[in-house]
Amino acid sequence: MSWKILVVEDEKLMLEMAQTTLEIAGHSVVTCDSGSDAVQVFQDSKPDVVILDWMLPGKDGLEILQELVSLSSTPVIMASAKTEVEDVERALDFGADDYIKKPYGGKELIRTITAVMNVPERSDNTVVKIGPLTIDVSAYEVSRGSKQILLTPLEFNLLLTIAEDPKHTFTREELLKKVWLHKNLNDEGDFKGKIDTRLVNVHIQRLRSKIEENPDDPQIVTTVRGRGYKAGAN
Amino acid sequence: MFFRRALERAVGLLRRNLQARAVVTTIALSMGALVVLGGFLSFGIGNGLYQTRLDQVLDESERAVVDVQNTFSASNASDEVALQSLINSVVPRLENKSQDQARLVALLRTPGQTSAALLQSPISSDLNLTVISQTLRSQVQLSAGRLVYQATELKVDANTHPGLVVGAPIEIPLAGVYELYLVHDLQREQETLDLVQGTLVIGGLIVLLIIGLVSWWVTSRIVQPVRVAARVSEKIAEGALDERIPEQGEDVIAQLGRSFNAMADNLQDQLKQYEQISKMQQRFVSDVSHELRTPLTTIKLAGELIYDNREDFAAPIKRSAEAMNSQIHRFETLLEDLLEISRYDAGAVAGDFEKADLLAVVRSAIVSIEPLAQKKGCEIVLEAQAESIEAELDSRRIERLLRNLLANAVEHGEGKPVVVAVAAGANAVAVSVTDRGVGMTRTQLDRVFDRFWRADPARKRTSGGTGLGLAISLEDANLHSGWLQVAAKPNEGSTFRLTLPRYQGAVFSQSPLPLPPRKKQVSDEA
Repeated sequence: MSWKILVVEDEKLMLEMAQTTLEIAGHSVVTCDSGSDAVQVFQDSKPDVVILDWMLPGKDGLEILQELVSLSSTPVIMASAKTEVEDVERALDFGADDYIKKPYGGKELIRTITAVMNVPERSDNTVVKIGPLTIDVSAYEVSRGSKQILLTPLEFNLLLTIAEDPKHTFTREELLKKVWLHKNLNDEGDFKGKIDTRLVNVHIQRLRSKIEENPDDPQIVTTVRGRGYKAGAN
Repeated sequence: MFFRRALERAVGLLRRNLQARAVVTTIALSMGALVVLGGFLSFGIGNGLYQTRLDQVLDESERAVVDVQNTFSASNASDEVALQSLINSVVPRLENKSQDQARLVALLRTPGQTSAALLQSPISSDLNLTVISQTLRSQVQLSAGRLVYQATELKVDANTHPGLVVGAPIEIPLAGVYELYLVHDLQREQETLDLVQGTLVIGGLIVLLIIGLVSWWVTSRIVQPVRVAARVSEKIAEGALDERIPEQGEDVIAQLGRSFNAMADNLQDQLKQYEQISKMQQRFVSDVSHELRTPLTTIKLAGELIYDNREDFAAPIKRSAEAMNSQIHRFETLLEDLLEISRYDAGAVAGDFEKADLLAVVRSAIVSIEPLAQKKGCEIVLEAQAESIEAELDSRRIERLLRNLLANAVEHGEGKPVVVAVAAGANAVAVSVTDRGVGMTRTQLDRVFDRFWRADPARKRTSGGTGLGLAISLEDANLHSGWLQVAAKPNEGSTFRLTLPRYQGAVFSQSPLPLPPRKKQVSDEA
């Protein structure tokens, strides 16, 4: 897969290295080194995904994030040297799809982008049902009756993963491996663990707000207390 | 038993209560002084009363004796009948029948005279002759006309009155030598003295009471500010640094208050300063590690690119790419650890305690260390008494801690098996990690938890630790109110033992695992 990626970052050398890395991996890259131009560049280039630095001259990353979220459903990955759990939670609450902590390497960057963008490939005409929803994998469509529901690739992937094994209760760790493509949870220690838990929770909430009739009383993706998530009983 | 307990309580109170002690001491000392003073007064007054009465009695007696002697000497009675009636008239004349100043009279013939005892001795009807002792009589007989007296006790009805017997020889013509005794009742003086003594006692008690109250009042005036000072300093010790003693007046107590407050001010300023310095330091560490992140990202992106294409380069450059790649990774870990320790230093770490299976945490840590262990040819043996051990922990931190202990054990274990023991007690759980590698000396043991300390700077390191691992592990254990302890011997290996409360707030004084581990545990694996 190849995507058009917008990278917003004020440190020019770093921006250059990120661009090189992503281009070698086969993606096309648009760069922007100033906060105040970011939204304009986004609207002009219409990227598939955005890597957004938090601390930018001109305009704060969070502000840009809010504007981007209000403009489109394009996934945004926040990148920052901020390392406290609260910072990451804030970014997720403001609508970021994932968070990548500096210093990151090329592999981590690509893995994160892939997790956010990856559309699972199945044999043709695979249709999976979960509750009242129908998932048409090859068409990349989710519908309730005749009504279509728009999901981000990550949400689609998350829903499909749970729907394909309806008897199974997925722990957060399992979901992180399957959906977020994490290899070993212990690689990055305490900080990452906490963030990852939060990451799963946030995306489950967002998914529910789109697919459930009453997101406060979920029927399609239910919580198994203390264990994880599973497809609702039906 | 009851009194003893009451006494113990009273002694306890005195030991604790400065004011009660001061008051009791004052009362005791004043009482001593009053007893001495009262005794002196009582004695003086008693003596004065007695002396006055004695003088009066002797005076009266003298007159009576002279009067009687004259009567006899002047009489011209020539027959026994006339003489007898004269003698008989003496007693009624001298008698005094008043209630409290009675005077009784006896005229006794001196024994051992040649002339016949023809006449009867007149004696007051109420007089018991035993009050006139033989000693007194012989003194009178030898007195050559002078008055002789002796104190005695008189029975009046059922009571005993103090008395005074005065005697003198009387010569009666024709009848020979007689002794005239006048017995005086001193009851009135006794009553006066009793009254005075009673008044003294009551007065003394009132004075004691007043002294007690006054000393209570005075000491409480003095003790009260001290009490306030004690209370305030206690509060300050508990952390309420803004507490101060109210300053009133100019006296020494006010002086104490002012000095105390000045001290507290100083202390508070110092603490604030230290707090500021430590905050600044922590901020600095945190800022530095943040500032390093962006350039490190550039280096990491570039380094990875070069590393991924290392096969295209000549051998020396390829080796350089590998070295750079591993050190970039190490640099990153170091930044993470620095940040974590600065979080601890700032007191910004709150545990994320949840009920978890300690054994699962241990197993997960072992699994993640397995690749390193295999590289070192080292076997990790898990010894546990149970299938699962539930405990309240921050499992992410505990797993990180165990990974760190395991990595150290594998690193220094020289390829020999590493034994992980897990055990649980009612209030505590424990994990120990034992290697049989190089071990440590006494001095090395003392420094093993120090930051950036390396047991052997010369030895080659392969896992590239940051030198902060054990310092963070110790903080993690402390966060759980647990212990992280170590025992080691050079060339025999080391054991790190982690003991944690089973649930937050559980109190334990012993770890479920021994340290150092029992010999059997190690030799089994040989």
